[in-house]
Amino acid sequence: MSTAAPQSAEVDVRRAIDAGVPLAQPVPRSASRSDISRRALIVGGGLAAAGLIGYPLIQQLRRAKTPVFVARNQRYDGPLRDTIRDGLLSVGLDPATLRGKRVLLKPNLVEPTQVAPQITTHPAVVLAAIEVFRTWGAEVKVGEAPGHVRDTEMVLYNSGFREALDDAGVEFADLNYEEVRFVENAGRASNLPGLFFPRSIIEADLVVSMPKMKTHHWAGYTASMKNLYGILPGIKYGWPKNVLHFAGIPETVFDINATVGKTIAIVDGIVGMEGDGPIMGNPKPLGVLVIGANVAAVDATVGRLMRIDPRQVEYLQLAADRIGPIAERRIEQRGEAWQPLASSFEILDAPHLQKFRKRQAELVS
Amino acid sequence: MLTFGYTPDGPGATEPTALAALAFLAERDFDGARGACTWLAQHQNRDGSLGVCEGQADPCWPTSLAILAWETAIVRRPWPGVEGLRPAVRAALEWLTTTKGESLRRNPQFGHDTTLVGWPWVAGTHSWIEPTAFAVMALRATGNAEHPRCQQAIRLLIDRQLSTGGCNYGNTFVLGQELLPHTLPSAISLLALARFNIDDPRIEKSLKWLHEAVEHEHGTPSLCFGLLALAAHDRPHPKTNALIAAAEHRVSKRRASGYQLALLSHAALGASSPLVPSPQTARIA
Repeated sequence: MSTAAPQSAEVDVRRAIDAGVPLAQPVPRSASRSDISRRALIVGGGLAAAGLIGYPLIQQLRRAKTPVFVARNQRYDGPLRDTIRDGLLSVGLDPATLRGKRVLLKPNLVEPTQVAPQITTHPAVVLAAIEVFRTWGAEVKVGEAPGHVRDTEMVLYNSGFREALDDAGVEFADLNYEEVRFVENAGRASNLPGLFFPRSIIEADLVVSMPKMKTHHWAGYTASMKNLYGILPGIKYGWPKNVLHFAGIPETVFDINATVGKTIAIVDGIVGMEGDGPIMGNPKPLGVLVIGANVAAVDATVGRLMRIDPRQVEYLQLAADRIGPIAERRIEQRGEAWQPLASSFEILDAPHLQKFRKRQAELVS
Repeated sequence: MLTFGYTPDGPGATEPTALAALAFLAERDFDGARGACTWLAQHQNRDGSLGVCEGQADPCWPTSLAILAWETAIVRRPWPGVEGLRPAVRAALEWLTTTKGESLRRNPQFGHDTTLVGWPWVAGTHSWIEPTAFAVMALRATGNAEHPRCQQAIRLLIDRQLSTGGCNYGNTFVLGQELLPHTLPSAISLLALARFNIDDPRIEKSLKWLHEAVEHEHGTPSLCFGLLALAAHDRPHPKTNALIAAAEHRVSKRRASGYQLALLSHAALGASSPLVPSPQTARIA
């Protein structure tokens, strides 16, 4: 399996991401590369300048550190709104840039069941984020394309989101069944020429990936980057999104993130999942929220909190220094330091996961 | 022409429109049925398949449901000239029987028989429960229950039942762990397997699981297919009417989609829904 995109594509992605470009603008299939770049620059420039998205060129050139915020002692019945607000401000989000913008919150509702709430993002975290973004004048909705089940009503009821969103008066976008648009694959790590994005993703000014902190029995662990599998519509990719599996999980995780671009992350690590994740694992209370404007840097920090070496995770290898930094020296920790909070997440004893188990043992010892 | 979508404002889609056509036929609303069948025919691809919705020529897994709608109309002869749908059925069947999921070498990481061939959600990927179940329903309705593809698909659906009853969305065991059952794939697989002569204890376990699960189900698709599957196996749920009434109440709180309304109609029809196969037996090769 290739761990690097073709050189020409890599240059394009680098340029686009450096410029803070939200690549998922409605791009006609016939548009030329120059058209795409010009439009993307116009649309993405303002947000990039505000430090909202992407991995600005100037930061790379100066090798500046990318901030990631970690909050400890968090509870679902605690003051999550304050934590999320402080975290977002701490990593450079400027509330003034969000006034009137469309913000889509993307929790992980892959396969909800009332008997195992550790599978899905807790509604309390999403409700707190809704409050923060609304206070800042954004137009907020929640969207998800559950990956394993296509009865979205069931998903909303079993996850507790139906009641929570109704109470908050927030619209839910069923990304599985919305109108779709083809967008050229900006990552090109997989052989997929493009990706179908639902209308709500195309139209959003900012996507907030809100995953659950979980081990993953194929990928190692899942956080904000893998969570974006859930923006692709089942009506085009199936249940499960087997097209992506056949094209390569690490490659497509990278491609989706490179193509969407305009993403920040708020990770629910208050109660995560260890063992046979992302579905059949056990609850792992850690009490943390992890927040950042760069998904690669956030996910690398999440791995360290789980005592899983992010450099062993193939999609983060692809993302490193192209979507953002994963090296510890390149990430500036804000809020709490991750080291005293880190706790080993149990990893399944399977041959393909031995690299994670071995490295985890080294990290602990 | 009439079309319905998964959401009130979404594009017209093949599955909801086919389900609506079948409900109209059962309710003897022949104008509605004709309008929906005509929409389906006008959205047939040149190779006989139908894409998922307006503007999307693929993937084509709902083709089976269009076949079911057209064939039901042809058999019931509700309007003059309905025979004109026969070429559409023939072309769709040709596509269906030449389309298959990717089989994989047996792998101890997966509990199900990965060599069995059914139908995929998307061309070029593995066979999954719901598209395979819909294909079995279409093949049976058109007199093709003995077709080797249908026979193998039946084996696949039985193979994907969990040992504790019900189905996950597709796998049974992964890395040694049995997965969680879900109502919708469980119900659709049991609906497809109804009224075949199948002597396998997994079917009984799945029916028992579904009977329990459906009572706590809040999603319209899961609930309606669940009630239909139980009716198809001649064990209608005793709370059917109350469960449908509660679902209607939930749906009425917000704008209902054509998909939801069609499913509720079928659930209310119970064993007389055209989605429930007529009594028939088939040998399992």
